[in-house]
Amino acid sequence: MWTAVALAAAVVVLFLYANWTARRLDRLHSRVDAAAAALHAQLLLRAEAALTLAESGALENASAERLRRVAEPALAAHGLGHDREIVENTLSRCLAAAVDTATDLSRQQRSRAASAPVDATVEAAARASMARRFHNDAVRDALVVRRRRIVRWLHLAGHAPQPSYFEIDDAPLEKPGVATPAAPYD
Amino acid sequence: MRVGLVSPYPWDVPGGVVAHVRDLAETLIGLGHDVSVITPVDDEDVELPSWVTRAGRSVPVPFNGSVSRLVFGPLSATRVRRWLHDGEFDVLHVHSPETLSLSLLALMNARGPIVATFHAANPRSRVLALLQSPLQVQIEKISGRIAVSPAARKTIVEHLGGDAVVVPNGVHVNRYADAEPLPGWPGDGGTIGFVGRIDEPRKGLAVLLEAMPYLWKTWPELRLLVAGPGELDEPVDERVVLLGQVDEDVKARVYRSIDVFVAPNIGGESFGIILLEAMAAATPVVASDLDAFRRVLEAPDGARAGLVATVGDAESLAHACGSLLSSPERRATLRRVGRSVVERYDWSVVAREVMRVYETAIAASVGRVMEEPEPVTPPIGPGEQ
Repeated sequence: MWTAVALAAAVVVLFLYANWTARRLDRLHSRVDAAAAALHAQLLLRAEAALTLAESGALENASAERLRRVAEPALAAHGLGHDREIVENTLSRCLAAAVDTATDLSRQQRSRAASAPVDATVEAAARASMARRFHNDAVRDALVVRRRRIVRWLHLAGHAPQPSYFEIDDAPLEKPGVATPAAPYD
Repeated sequence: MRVGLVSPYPWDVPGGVVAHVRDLAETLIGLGHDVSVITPVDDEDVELPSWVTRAGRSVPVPFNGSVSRLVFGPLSATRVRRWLHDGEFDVLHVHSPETLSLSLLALMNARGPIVATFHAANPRSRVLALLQSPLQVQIEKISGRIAVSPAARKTIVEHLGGDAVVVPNGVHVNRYADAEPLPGWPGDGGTIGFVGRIDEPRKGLAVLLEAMPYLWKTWPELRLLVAGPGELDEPVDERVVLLGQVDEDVKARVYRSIDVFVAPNIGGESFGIILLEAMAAATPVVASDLDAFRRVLEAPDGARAGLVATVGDAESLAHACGSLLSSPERRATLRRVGRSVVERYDWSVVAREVMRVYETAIAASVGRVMEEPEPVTPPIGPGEQ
């Protein structure tokens, strides 16, 4: 008798816990989806800023052309798979070089007008980098729960695809003291 | 933007986190945003700005060598839920949610775009280790995490997993730069300054008091101006002036009333806001050789905005102070470097970075801030890892 009661109680507790975990996981998946959408949008904005920079005349022809060539596929990219990582990584590298030369050029010419597309690119890259971090945090939180035994045994994740990290090199573009043409304290 | 800020500590007890929340709120309001702060308030009679909501009183509980102030209970929970409901915030920003405080209570009761700032940097936090599993359920509701320093970020990475963006503490540069020195200071004999709790060993006043006799050999009329609450066990020399606890305005004036500011802290510092305040006031700095301090003192071009002294070493501290007292040129150089360092910590700059976090977090979350239909706590569960 008592064994049956204890067993029934255990089943009820397990059911409650599984139900609660499933809802928790559902929320985590929603968070990953929202964060992925935000990251996708920010990466597009970054590619757009890069293209504007390439067409602004702030770069000499060769590097402008190179930047255009890597920015265009990034503008057409979708999904956050490995292919996208390669495309965005190439853009990151090209942007770092482009921002450096553009900043040097605008410094030599002492013009602030030429630095506007550079500033816009630096800002867009910083936002994309932040969106990527928030996305990867969401992925991590979801994976921690997905790896639990109760989730695996009872298939609580259902058909939701396994979220994956998005890894690219997106070190900040702004070199300290370089973004503004004139040093403020001389 | 409608922003809801949660302070974990009582509004009427001075402290770094409370000052941060207040300054951030004021700056965002100045930028035209709609800000509401909910906070514990210990004194029922204290007057509050119109944008501050009371969440009740805090209960001091000794823990882990210091005093935690807990705010829990049905009354606080009801107030938090009503505040969340009436606020209709675009983003909720909680501070130090890892403490068992109002911030955690708000986190438990909210959903939507949530940003959290982590202020602490303690590599071996027993609290975090102990609470990691139940805390994770609440922490995973946060869309964007901020650490106030690389050290605080390291603590998050090690204890909670995941990452955080570093947005430093801010300082109202002009409030310090424009402050008037207190009447009669710094005087002709030279003055050294200290700001912080005088009876908290890790703030290091004892080391500075030990260093003074070395300096008195060369500068017999040198005075030490001390601002900060607390009691000392032993009487001090008459050249040491204790102001006790001072308000924000007087504190700014203290920094302007001294020739050299000394931060003799012996550890446990995550950031070093006092150094920024001194630099904003254009006062040369001598600081303990702590990681956090060294980082704050470094200028973009690699120059250093202050001298560092061996941690806990009175002689080294006296030596550094002496080299500044004897050289007006060196003091002038440090003042100039200090101004260039502190500029990027001005609240106008820092608040822009915080807004960037808000916008990214809003884009990365579902819906707007709402109160939870039911707080997210596990039912009686196996607590399986």
